[in-house]
Amino acid sequence: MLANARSTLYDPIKYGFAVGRIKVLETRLFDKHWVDRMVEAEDLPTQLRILAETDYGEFFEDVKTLEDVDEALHRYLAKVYDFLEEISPNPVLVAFFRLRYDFHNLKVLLKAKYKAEGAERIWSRLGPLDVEEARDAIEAGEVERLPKTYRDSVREAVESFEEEKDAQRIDIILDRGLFERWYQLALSQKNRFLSDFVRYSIDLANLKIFFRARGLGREKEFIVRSLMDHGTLQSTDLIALYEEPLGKLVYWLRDTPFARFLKAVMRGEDVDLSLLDREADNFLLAHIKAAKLVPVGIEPIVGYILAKENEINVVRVILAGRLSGLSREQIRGRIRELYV
Amino acid sequence: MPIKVNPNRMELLKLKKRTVVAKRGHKLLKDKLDELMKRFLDAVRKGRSLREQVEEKLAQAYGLFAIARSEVLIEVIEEALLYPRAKVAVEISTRNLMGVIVPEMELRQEGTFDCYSLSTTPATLDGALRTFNEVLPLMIELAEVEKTVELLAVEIEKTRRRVNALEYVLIPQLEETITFVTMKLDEMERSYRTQLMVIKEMVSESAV
Repeated sequence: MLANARSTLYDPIKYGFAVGRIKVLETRLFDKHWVDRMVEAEDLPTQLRILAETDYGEFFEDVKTLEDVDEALHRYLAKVYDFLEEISPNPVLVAFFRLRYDFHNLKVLLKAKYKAEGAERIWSRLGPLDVEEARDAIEAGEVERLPKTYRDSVREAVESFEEEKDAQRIDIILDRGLFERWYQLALSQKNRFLSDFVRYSIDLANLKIFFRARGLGREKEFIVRSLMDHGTLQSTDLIALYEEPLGKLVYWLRDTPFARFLKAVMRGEDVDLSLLDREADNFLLAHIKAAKLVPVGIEPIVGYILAKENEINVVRVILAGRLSGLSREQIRGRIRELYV
Repeated sequence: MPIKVNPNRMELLKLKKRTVVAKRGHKLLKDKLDELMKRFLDAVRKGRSLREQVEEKLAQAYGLFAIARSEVLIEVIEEALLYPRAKVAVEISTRNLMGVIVPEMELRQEGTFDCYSLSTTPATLDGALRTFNEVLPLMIELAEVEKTVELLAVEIEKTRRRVNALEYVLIPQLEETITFVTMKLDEMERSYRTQLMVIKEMVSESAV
């Protein structure tokens, strides 16, 4: 109660300026009409002309290949994060979203170390962690030189890999590390919207693991070791349902927010894996849309970051899809809902 | 053009023997050619259907991969595939097919292909990699069949040249030479007989 009162009192002062700017920027997010134009566009040059009308334009001037698209979007994403960092009064918010790139880099560094090959080209420059320093620390086996946030996960990943020689363990452990850290950060913000976002993300990640592991025919032991804690769904319950018919899961989820998600990804008796990512993103987007209703606070900022990430994803699907020769229908089928 | 030989009985006998051998060789080679053709056509047919299958599956796999790739930053996909679990080795031995040494390839695969995070990579990646995984043995089989077709084609070409050489060059030559030698011998026989008759006449004349 007290926390609520405090945020009512202080949030307008703290976040007023940032939210004001974001409300303006929100009006420039792409809408359905714009996406239709992009999908219907004849070829890449036409698409680039449409992009040139937006703030993406300057990054896409010399784009010709798929690699250029990736590169341009990467730079654009960096700009978005930098801008948000600049206006956000709360540094945790952008750091929260940049965290995943650090964990990506740590995965790359660990795998590259054990594979004994350089992987600089797939380092991400979007995270706050200094990759060169992290590489030196990991190559030298001096995990304690890494920032505290990552230390435990990396140590666990190293121990697990050295024991089992299975690189997938590195992925699993660092994913758990990322979501754990997200959860802790969300808790530290004492914000329901953010912690719900993290808990739903964990649930969706768990459901993805659940369905994909089933599809791949992995043993139960695998999901026991892969599922993450802190979701709204109990991982122990998911584990118990792993070898049961899918109907039981549907029944179990009937009264949760995931009932609709499940309905959207089911095709007949089974789950259509190709719909999983799109529907998971749509689910999260439906959650963050609530941020638009909050006049001032961290919600509009978080909402905007996610909306921007989602938008970049849509642009990538359209451009990369077209360059890889996917049909308009296929591209349309992969496009996520929009924030606006 | 007949072969240059001394026209005598010894050579004639030799030539006749050579003709018999050449004809038998010709028949054998022709049989071999027929059989090679049969195997070749079988291999071509198998190769064609395999190639269709491979191309269809590859197109499917690349399509799925393109979808997976477009859904996340490319670094995520590259990271996912940085340290594969599956180990693949191709063992190549040979076998003798109608005198042609053709390769036999065997694909050995250990471990599964899902070596990545199931929560941060797109789910379409599973389908793409599964399809790639299914197409790999087919591709190895296709390589084996296509190499066999190539080697058989070379062998067929060689055998056909030999058959033709025997059929249109050596055997006619031998037969021509035999005719020539026979005629020469007959000619000699006739001239010898004439000589004898003349001598006999001269002897009987002097006796009288």
